[in-house]
Amino acid sequence: MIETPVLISGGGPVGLTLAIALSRLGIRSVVVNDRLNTTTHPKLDVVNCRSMEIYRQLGLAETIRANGNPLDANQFSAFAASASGPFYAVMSGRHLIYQPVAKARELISKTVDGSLPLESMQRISQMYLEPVLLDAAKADPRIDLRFGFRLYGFEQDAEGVTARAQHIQNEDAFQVRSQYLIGCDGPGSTVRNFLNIDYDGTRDLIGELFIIHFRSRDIAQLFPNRQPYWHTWLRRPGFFGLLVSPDAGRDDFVLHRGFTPRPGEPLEKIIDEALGCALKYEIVQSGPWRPQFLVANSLGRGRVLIAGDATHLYMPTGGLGMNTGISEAHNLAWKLAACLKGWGGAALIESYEAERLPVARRNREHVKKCASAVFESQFHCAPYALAESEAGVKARAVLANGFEAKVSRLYESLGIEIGYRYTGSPVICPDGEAAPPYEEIRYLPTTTPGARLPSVFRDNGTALFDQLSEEGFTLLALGASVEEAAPMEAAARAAALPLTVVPVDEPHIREVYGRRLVLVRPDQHVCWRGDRVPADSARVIDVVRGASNGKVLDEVCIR
Amino acid sequence: MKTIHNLKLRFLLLASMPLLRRAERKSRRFQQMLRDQPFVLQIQSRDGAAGYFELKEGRLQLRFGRHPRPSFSQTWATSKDAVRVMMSHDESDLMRALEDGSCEFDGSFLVAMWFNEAMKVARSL
Repeated sequence: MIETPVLISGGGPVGLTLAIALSRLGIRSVVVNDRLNTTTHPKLDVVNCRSMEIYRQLGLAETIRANGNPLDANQFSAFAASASGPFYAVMSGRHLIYQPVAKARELISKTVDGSLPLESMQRISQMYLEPVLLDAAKADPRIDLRFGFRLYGFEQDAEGVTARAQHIQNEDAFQVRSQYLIGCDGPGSTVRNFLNIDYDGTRDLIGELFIIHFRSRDIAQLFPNRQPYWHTWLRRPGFFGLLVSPDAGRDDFVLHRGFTPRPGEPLEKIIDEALGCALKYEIVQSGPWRPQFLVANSLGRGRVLIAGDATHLYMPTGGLGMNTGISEAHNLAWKLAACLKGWGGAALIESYEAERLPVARRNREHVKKCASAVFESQFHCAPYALAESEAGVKARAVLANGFEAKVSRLYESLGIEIGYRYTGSPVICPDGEAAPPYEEIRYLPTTTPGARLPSVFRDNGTALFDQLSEEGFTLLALGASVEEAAPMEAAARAAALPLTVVPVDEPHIREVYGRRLVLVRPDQHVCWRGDRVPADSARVIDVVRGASNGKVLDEVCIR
Repeated sequence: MKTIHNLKLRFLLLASMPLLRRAERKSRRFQQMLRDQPFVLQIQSRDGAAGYFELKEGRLQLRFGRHPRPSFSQTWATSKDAVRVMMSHDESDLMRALEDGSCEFDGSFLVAMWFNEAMKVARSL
């Protein structure tokens, strides 16, 4: 029998990210995956800002960028009659998100108020992202990859989980004994099903959509600088769709339609209509799919947990499917490591659901609003929308305005991407202060406990995020002396919790963070803040490491 | 013929009410949905048929006629088109109708999704 601290079922982006994150914390894992290879389907087309911040911490951000959209290529979203035009609107300069990464980096580096993420998003297709993650996992001696094996069943007891996996093509099988089993095994999750956890929500609210993946070198010529826009939403009388270029440096395109082809309707006709002209292309694959808005009722039981599409299934409007899963893996990795190393308490693993389930539900509501916005932007297409008349000009302006007002929420919602908070978590110490509004679109930087620490740069140009501890907690001493932090350091040492004190003197950072002391977890979320070290630092340390045994938190909420 | 199709559309809207009433009694999800924000979903045709569903104070009601400010409206070119698509087993027909212009939408699509979910819940009981 194979023994490993963590067994991961599912070798997609979330499972591989979890394995890599665990390894960086010194934890071995076995990954079983019921496919022999990475996906050949484009699937997702964006690694969002928060996921790129996470991949930066994992040392993978630059490799991902090198395999995705060129750094100087646009991330525009446009609305047009066809890819040949006319274009009603191009969202290009109104938000960080649309900027080429090189330009976005300049904007980010000049921002001093913590209002932007440390990393901009990256256009990349899942079929090119997965190999990057797989290569990193293959090169990692702490990760035992078993592609081609399907989880067959498992039993958990007080000390661990015994699971059986079998090869999908032959009789090879093995047993694994692990302390934890994490199901990152997608919408049909075996792990979730064995746990008897259902999705909450009604299926098929939108019906059946259709996707065509094709390749063409010629389409680039329709766009400025031969750089296809990221998304070109299409609408004219008698036609609507979405043309996606997951990466302006590659020939892959994805055409989405709101329904399956009519009987006898050739795919080539649909593509030609979307392009608005005759170009050469090769159809790679096509098929129907059904968008969903589902969230699991629970994220696991005992030592068996789920993450990624196993926990939530979203329509891709807003790009939150895999990206929510990456944040889940990030939330889970340090907690598993803490428990395996002995400094994590019983409430730490339980806090995974308390923190992530509300985020999954919040993201679902956002995705629904995004889906609604997309459809609404298609409503007002007058029959004369393409006419050269004054009425035609006005009709196109109506389409453009509706698009910018509504569809922009898909892209510009930093409040969703980096503004999510773990308020109410049993391992977060609330400070009793009113938090800023919890908005979906606008991100309001805050160190309110539970929030992601706002990203700022030191005076020497280095990112503060790069100075945060990945393996343990970081106490930011913002104008406070290192000596002041000594009681909290002593409490952490007594609990074997790794704690690094980072002195910060820059006034602009002190202004953004608003407190003299801010305690940050390995996942870059604030778990306590104050102007002086609490009288009973051990209580704070016990709460944030999940060992407070349910004691009331109020007493430790010392500012 | 127009009158017959108008009557058919009226009958279709009426026929949904017993299902929705049953869901109101039996489905916890439906009961939750009734606590959502109030709305008016109008279904009408250019050849004279009109009815609307109104969610108000936890109750879903069907009324005939045109509401002055619906939250969402489906306007069909003809009642015949509306009946054909509503009776179709192919869910995609609604989106096809939107594309080919035989149906126009206006307002909040979230309301349309709400109603679609309500009907799915009602039919599943």
